[in-house]
Amino acid sequence: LLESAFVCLVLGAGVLSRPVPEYRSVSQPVAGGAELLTVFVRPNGAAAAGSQDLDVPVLAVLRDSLGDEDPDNDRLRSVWILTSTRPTPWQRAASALSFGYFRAGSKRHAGRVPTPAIDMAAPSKSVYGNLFGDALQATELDPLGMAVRSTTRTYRTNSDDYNKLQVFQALSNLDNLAVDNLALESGGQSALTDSQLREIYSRLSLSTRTFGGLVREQNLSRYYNQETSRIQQTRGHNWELLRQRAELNGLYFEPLAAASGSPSEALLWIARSDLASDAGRHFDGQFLGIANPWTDPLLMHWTGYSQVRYFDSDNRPVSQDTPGAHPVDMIPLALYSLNYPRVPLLLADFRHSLSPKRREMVKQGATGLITGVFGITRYGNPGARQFLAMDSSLDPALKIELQRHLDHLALNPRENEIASEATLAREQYAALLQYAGSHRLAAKLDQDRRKELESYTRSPTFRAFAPIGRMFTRGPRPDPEFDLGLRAELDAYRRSATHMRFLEQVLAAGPRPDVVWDTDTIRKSVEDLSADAHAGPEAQSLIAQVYARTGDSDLRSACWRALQTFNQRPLMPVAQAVSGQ
Amino acid sequence: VIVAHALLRAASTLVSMLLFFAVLFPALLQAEVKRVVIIKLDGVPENVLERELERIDPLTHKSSLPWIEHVFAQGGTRLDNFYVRAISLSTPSWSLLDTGQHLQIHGNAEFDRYTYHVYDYMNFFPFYVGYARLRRVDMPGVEVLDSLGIPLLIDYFPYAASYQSFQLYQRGVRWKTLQDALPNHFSHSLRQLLDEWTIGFELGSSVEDQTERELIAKLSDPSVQYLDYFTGDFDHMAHAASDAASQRLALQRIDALIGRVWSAIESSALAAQTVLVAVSDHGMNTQPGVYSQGYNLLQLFNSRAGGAHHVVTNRHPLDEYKLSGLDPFVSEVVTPSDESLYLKGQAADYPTALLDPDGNERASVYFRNSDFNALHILLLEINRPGIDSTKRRAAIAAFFQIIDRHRDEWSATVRELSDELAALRRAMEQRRVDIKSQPKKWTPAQRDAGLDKASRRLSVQLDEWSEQERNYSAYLSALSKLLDLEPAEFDRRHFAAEDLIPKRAMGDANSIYDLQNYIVGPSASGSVDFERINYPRLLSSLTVRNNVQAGVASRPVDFIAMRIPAESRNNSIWLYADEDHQALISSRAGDLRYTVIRNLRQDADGAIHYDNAPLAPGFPLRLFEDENLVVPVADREQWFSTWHSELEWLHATHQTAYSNGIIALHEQFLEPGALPPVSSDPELLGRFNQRRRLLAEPDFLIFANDHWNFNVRNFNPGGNHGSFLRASTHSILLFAGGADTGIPRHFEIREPYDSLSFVPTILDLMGRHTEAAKLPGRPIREILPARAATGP
Repeated sequence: LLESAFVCLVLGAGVLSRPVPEYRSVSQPVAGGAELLTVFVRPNGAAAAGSQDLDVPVLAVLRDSLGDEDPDNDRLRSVWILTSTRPTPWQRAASALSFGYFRAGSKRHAGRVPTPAIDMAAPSKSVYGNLFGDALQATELDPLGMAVRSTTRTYRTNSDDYNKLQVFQALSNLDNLAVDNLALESGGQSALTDSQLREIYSRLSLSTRTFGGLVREQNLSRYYNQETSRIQQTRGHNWELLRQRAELNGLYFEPLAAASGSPSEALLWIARSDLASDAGRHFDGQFLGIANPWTDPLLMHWTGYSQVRYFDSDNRPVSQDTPGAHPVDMIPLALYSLNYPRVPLLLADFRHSLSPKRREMVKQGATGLITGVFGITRYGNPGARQFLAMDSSLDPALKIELQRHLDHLALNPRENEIASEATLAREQYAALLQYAGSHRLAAKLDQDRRKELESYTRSPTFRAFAPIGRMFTRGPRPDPEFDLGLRAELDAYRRSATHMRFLEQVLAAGPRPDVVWDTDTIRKSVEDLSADAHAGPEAQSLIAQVYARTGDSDLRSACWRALQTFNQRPLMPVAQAVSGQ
Repeated sequence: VIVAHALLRAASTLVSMLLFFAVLFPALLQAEVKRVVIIKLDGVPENVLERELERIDPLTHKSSLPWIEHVFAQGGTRLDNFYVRAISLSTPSWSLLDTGQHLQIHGNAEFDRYTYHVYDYMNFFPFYVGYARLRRVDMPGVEVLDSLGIPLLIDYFPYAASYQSFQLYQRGVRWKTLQDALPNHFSHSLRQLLDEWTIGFELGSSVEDQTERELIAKLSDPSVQYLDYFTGDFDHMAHAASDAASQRLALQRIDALIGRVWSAIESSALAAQTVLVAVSDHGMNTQPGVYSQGYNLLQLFNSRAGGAHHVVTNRHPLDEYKLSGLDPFVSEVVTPSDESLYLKGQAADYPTALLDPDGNERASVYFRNSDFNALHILLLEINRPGIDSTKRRAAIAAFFQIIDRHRDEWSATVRELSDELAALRRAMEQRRVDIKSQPKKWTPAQRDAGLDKASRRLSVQLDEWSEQERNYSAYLSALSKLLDLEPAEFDRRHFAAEDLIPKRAMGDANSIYDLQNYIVGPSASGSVDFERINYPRLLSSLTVRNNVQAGVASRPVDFIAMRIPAESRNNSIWLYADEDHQALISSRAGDLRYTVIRNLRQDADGAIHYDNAPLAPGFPLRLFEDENLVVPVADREQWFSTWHSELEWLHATHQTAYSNGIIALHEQFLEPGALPPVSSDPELLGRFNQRRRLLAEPDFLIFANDHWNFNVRNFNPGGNHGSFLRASTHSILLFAGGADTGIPRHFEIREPYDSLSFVPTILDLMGRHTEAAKLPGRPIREILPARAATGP
């Protein structure tokens, strides 16, 4: 509690003053011509203090920029969730226990580089890995008997749940960063561009689905739009549901907004004076999941946390010094997450700490039987954890109370205490920075680039057997001259791929490219592709389609010139390209 | 200086006129439109469209809606001020846009007061199933309009020359569209299907996609003159989410659709003579960062404080959480009150309130006639075991006092309705003969001409007539029984309430007196007296406890509106905000007047009294204080004291907070006229249909305050419509045309128009001036060749 109180004092300085936490992304160059992009959460208290030392790093992304400033040849690589830690031995052991719905201690320090959550350049790797794991479980481990089956399955489930919880937490951060980036639309700088942010969000989110890693790049934008819109709809729906239920039952509703975005949590309160005047009032607990407060003797003699709030004549919350403000002594009843589909999810019941946990345990038990029905129930509180750990400005005493209740809710032995997460994130970030400055990351980058180049230049068969060959040759040796050549070659391939992807996107957007997209940008891609010696018949075909569909004469001329250029190469005649688009 | 200014203004007007005649007029005179394609966009508000049109996408460096910008803003004509003429609600609004006639359908659901028939205009499922079972041929709204002899815009074109998408006013079902929708949806590559499976299939769009394919294919057929495409995507999204990004996505899907359709038009044979129109039926009161708050009227009317009614709605409340909510055929749901004062356990037979909250920023309320309640309570009292004879006699006397008070009115109803039902029976006989003479099999050519559907329409109508004849006869029988009853009969036999009070009937509409003194139960004193509620006062006094949004008032109700019966005060509508803030909208030979009053009350004998109030802020529609009212502040008192034409009202008020509320309210409560004495069968049938429309009118409408709604089916935090708030009434109307159509390019029309202008404009554009002239609406002259010279 003391620890939590300290965190509260640090993070929640602005009591009742509705803080707007700041999310920012920062770029740091690392060895080998890449950048480490880090998303920081700046708690409101830190913002007031004007210090960046208290900012919490929550997510880091490696951007392979080939050492230049041109975004056309950038590739995103590893993504690290800095609040996600490797388990302690005790956490590992507890994770294997069936029905071990408790927290197995909390990690105090994390000095190692965390495992990347996803490799953006090869998202499908995790799909095959998971499928291999499932197959191994079903064919090798399950037949070994109940003890092995149950421990291995429980371990894998807990591990999977923990990873998902961390992913949801990261998505919540990215969501808030997106809002702040939006605010920067009219000016200002963000290290992560909007399209990169969308890509990371989509890939991370899809990593929680079985075949998510196989979704093609052209569908990521649609997925992102779908998901973010769904979240907005869910929050609005739950906000309104909870407000109406509060109204129906004579309770007070308080939405909690973690950032400049929409409220993601909400509290229900009851007025102490109403308990006396409306004792025995009818209570409809549907959707609320809490016991009838109007007949609860515990509340009649409540000695727990309460708070005096002030309201005006229209019952709007106001400050104490507002003329006509009247005080109401309020008792908190419950905290809900608004992110859960269909109904708000009860996270904390102030009268019965274990009540939400009991519900969750029952659901989790049932989930084992009917997997998928309950969706993300088991990871339903990442937003609330984030809210409390990072940027809340609630009354510190209330926050301690909430953290206590949320800690009670922990069902996964691998979960760390909310109060420790900021410390762990900072320590892991320090380790990551150290790793980024070392030759190990440079070597890893070099290895990845070679593989990427092979994907452009080698056949799939070669690529399938190349790793075996590398096992015998111990891989290529570092060679500065060769590296420069590799970068130049990769630069050309990447640019070419970027332009082709862009033209595909433009053509998919509608029947007339010049109507939906800025023609200068299209022309630049067309010209760059025509000047690229690596561009092949596919590029030619795309340019031919742009030529056939555009109504802009300048763009048509540029396409014609580009096609002429292609015509001078032994590839495909212009006429054929145009007609066979 | 003044003279110079005047000269300058005159010169500028002259130059504008010369330019107009020199540049546009010759083009308009040569205009020729052979085909019209209408994109019907449910609920797209003008302000959101404008916001997104102006926004430059940082990725593409073009407008967020590049095709709308290209086709309509740059290449066509936009109406800056196009409004819904009635409440901003889909079913009424599309009826105006689809017919060009005055309003006949007043809500998304309506109830017949005598027979309890539910006009469920928005439920597609029973229609499809009924169509498959050969029992339906048109959507319910079309059936109502057909019964009144009102044609749809599509009816002006031969069946084979038109293509209609799935929509509210739909004639027939094209099974082929549904049949082809799914296979086409799944015809992508395996890889794409795997992606879709992971991301989530959008099966809901498969029918729309198929419709688009068919529409584009039809464009290559020069014989097709009319095509439409309906989409409710934006409306659904905006109800659910108010954030700009979600709404932008929905608009961008529409934008892309317009791009594809326009490109198909451009490559079709009739490109030069085709007009593309995008129109929305209403706007949407939505604001990023603000959640629309629901107030549950159903719970209020269920509660003791609200009258403890058994309430009927056309859908289950919170249907997404109920198994019964999955029932796609539901059109009638009774929510019983646990606190009913005299009808406990009788919700199925005796509901006392019908509620249509669909539309959300307004609700229609039908209460059982207050005197039916009184008769019911008195009968219970008369039959109460142990009642002393004096009290029983007093109750019987009170019972007959009520009957006597209504005797003339009810006798007239029995007489007239009996005549009408007799005419209906004769029409049914004739219809049976007609049906027998219809062919049993249809050739493909006949089907293509729609003759099979026309024939089936005869059978469907006969079924409807049979049902109407049965239900109205039952009501008449109950009413006749009451009229024939003698006090002495109570001494001879026992009459249970079920013997005399018609079940599942609301009786005649309540008067203002009734609603101000509505009987909800027996008096606590137990004598021949009743517990009463003043509903206008109750509703205006509602407040809520949780007020967490700065811009949302603590009172959910803005005002209530009801018609003052013609015999009491000539064609007036009473608007009630509270006792001190009321208004009357009166009409006289096409002119309208708005008067502020207070303390309006009606006596039991029907006399209406009120006090005139000085013009001040806070009256319904808040016109006086509105800075956008185009009347100088100093002249306002004088202006409001006189009568003005509709057009004058539109010009003066359309940019105010409640836009064209005065005109829309007048349209909504348009006096259908007294039911005339007639004798011939066609006239009797006409009067019968007119009566049925009257019987579908609610007692009153409740309008929600800004960012409030009355949805009970689920939650609509994103936004709502239904009110006269400008965000909800301000719709879009965009035109673009080929080279020969004369549709001006890059042209904005600032003159305000409303829904009634739509059909005559389309007909005029297509050269069908005689038919257009018969319609009441004002054609949009700025884009019309024939009337450009003569003006409106």
